[in-house]
Amino acid sequence: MSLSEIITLVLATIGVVFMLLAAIGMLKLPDLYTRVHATGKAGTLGITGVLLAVAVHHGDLVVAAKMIALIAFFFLTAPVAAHMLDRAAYLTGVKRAPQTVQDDLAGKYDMEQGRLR
Amino acid sequence: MTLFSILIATLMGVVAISMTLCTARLLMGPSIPDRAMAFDTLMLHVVALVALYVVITDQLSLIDAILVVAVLGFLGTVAISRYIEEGRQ
Repeated sequence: MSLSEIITLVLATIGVVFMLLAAIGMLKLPDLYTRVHATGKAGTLGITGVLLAVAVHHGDLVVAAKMIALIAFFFLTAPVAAHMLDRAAYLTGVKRAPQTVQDDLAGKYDMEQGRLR
Repeated sequence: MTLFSILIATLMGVVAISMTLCTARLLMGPSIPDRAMAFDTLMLHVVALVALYVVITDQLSLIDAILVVAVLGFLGTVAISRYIEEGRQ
């Protein structure tokens, strides 16, 4: 195996392991808020590793530019999607896990309007 | 097949196992945001699977398909979130 293939394998393995951890966390964690926490971060890091592996393997400028554009897209949109999901869940009253210690948003949301007071 | 393509195919198998776990959450998720989140993660896994397939087969036209799938996954999540949020009591 050449050097670029070894780098490709290492990056892809890191990415796939993080994506597997995201899926396991999504299955095992107790409530929705912690699950979004798991997938929003570990999933983004995992897809970054896999896409960087594709960019390294081809060594083509166009492919690398598309991959970097995709990584930037995921880094911009994954927090937005996670926040919108959490917000919709909080406004519709999804139950928290019983071991939750603190709810900083309690009483600060105007539930009629769906806006912060 | 070279050793490199066999190892990449093994990684694709791991991604497929991970997709199975996401599908389990999609099927049993107690609330609608749970299912929307599982759908978002499933789209992420589709992107990773096709990216690894591009590494093996060198079909560069699939990269544009990856772009479309990524944008569709994000837009789907945002649309479902807005739908849940506007449709509450």
